[in-house]
Amino acid sequence: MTNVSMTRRARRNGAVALALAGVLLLPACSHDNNRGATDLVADAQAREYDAELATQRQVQQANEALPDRPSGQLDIDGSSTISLTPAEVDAYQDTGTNTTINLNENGEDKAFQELCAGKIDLVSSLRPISRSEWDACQSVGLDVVQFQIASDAIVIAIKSESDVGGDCLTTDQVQDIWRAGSPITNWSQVGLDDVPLRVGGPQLSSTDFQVFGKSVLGSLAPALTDVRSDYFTYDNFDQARRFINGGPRYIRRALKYPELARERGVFKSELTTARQVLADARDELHAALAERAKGFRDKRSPADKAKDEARVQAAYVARTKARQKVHDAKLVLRHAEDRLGVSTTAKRFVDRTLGHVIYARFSDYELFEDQLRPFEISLPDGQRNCVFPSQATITGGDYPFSSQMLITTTTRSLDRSEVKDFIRHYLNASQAAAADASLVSLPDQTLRAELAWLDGTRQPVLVVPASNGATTTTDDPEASDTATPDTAQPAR
Amino acid sequence: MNTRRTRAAAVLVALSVLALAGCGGDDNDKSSKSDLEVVVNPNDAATGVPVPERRFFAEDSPWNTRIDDEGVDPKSSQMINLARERVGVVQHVGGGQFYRDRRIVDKGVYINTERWTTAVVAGGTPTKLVCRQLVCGDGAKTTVLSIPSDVDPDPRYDGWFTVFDVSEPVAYDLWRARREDDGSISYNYMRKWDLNGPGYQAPQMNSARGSGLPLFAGLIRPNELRAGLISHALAISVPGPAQSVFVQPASATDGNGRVNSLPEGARIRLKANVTVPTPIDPITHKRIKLTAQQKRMSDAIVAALRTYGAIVVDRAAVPTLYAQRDVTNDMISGNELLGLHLEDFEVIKLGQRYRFPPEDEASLGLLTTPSSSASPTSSPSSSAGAGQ
Repeated sequence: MTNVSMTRRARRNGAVALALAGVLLLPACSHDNNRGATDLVADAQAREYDAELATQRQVQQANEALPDRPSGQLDIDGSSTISLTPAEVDAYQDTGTNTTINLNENGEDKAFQELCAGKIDLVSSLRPISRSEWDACQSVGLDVVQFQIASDAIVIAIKSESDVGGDCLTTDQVQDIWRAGSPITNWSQVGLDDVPLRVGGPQLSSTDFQVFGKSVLGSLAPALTDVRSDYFTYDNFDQARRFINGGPRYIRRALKYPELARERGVFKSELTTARQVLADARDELHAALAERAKGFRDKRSPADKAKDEARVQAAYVARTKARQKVHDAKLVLRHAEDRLGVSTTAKRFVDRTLGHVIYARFSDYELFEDQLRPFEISLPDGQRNCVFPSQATITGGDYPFSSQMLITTTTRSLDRSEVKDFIRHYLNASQAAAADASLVSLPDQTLRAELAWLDGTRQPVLVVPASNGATTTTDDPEASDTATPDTAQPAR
Repeated sequence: MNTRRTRAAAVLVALSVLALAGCGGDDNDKSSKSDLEVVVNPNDAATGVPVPERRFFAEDSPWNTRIDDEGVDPKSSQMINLARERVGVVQHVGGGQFYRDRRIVDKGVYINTERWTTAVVAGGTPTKLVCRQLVCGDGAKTTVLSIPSDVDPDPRYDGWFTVFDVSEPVAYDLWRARREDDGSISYNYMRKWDLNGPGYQAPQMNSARGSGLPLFAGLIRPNELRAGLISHALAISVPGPAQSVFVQPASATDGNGRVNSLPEGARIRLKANVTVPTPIDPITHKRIKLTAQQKRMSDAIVAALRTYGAIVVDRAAVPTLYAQRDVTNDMISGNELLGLHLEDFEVIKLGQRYRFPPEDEASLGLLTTPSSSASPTSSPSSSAGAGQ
């Protein structure tokens, strides 16, 4: 390990010497007629080079002053919230490796400080290194490399096939909707339709709540006091589905409403018909009885009286049948109305869930994508950029509520075989571990690229955070000629 | 907000005989107005013997070629069987963890006429289009289109919307589109299609559909139903299209079925010996009585499924065909072909299979750590039909 460090220092010294030679050669090369202007430029350049050299000397001295990393030991620090690192450290130790891994959980801020002080090898974090932290690394000559392990995201969703008048919310709006004391009870208050709004989400003890609290509400230690008091909590996603769309049983019943309403109409019509038939039968009976009485008064022949009697008996039978039909029709109608009543109640229940909104981790959304309608999310500042949650936008970090599980190291640590071996083990296990933990796994090609950094077949990509907080990376030469794929993958 | 969902006066587009035949000629033709004919109301337009609408795309487009004599793929039965598998979600007894479950969907073929199908419009008033992302596919160059003011995308069903530009033979597919209060239409993604083009794109290109195919391709259109003649392949969605694999004409996939299942882009056709049984209502389990008109129109669809077949464009809960939104639901109810099942189809020999996303060496370097690129969702294609 020491040999490797010495070699790197020697290389760095060589680079400094070359730069010095360049500075010395510059004045000798200038023989322009316009001496005054040239001198000014040359002086400025010389001063610039001097300053740069001084900086480089400082960086070099700071780099040389970094503590040597102990052989056979690997130090990791960072956050353990939704981290695959502890389990993979255990799994790696179980392989019988001779490397001792010290895993601490001092938080991401402290961990990046330690990394840039050369005291640890890896940071396990849910956020990329910040510009100021990166500056600290650069000031001691440490280049930073980040390995993505997995991703996760919070999806904000209403029920599928419903609409509250908009498709996109800003991160600020989402925060306002869920935060404690939020006055927002109607979607119109965030510029959408006049639809009542109710919010829901998992219980405090869930990992989802912790992720939501940190990544959306910006809470350092999420607690129920961070969210509004009418926040509907659920134990599992089955309850979440009942909250957001009424649940499968109610939906099934509600879906039958049109058919049952039609059926009730048919049975009502049949009852009306049966009642008419009964009324006709009664009329016929009255007529038959009157005719029979008239036959007695008129002293008709026995044969005619027999006919009158037969007519009366037939009328009685018809009336009885008609009565029974009315009775049966009433029963059928009552049953139909009961069924319709159940369906109506279910429909009202389901209808009242319009405007209910929950947050869910992307893995839950993927499982229930046919029942959820996610919002696109935009950052509140700058040009609107409503990003739909998808594997591509989450893995790429473009979806605002996405978070990347990262392992950050330095090129100095990456030269150590202990570090490379552990990261290789971690990466190889990452896809299965991510799937088990309901996270978004690395795409195959990303995994292969990161493994190639370890094998030396591809130069690792150096992280360069922008001053505005965005993170850029050095170009991968083999990627530069390739058109960026059209990653806006619309979903069903 | 979005309450103006008047559909009665929905606009449909018919291409005149000359529209496609005359395009593809010299460049001078391109500057002149195309022969796209717009029928504002199919009921008003129906005089005399109905004339079927003209076909979209070039004559040799996969959408427009017959396949009744094409060979059957050796793995046809296996793919069809796997395509019936729907990935579901089941909760362990006692609550707690959910796990994915695969179930065979035995439902018949449904035709979407209102929900989850595409409205096709043309003409109308100049309407501002607003992309909600920094870049929305082909949206950068298209900010105003003529759109009828009384036909809106339906956000409840992913806001599928197709706008024809009658000044040149192109169409624009919109995804997650919505009519805003100010009359503009906002959307999340746009793809422009050349109506004289092939009707599909180069591999790995996305569109408003997960398969990379046009939303409006393979739609059953009102005048086709009226005329009883459909002369193109239909779009079909199946419960479990293959994941990570597609064949052309698809150029991407959102399939979630088994890898050996029917890939998006595959072409299937009705077997020659199939007769369509009377449909059974899935709720009441009673036979559905079809009117003479429904029978005639479903005969036309069945004939198209046999001669032109259907191209797998998406995944859906049940095997699904698509009829143009707003203007077909008074002709068919959607349940006419419930007697047909996926087993009644066979797969035409597949072409080259493509992986999605690609795993070629060039894309290996595409990175990994969070990127600051302004728009990861931008499209490399700003032209229509990036195709072949």
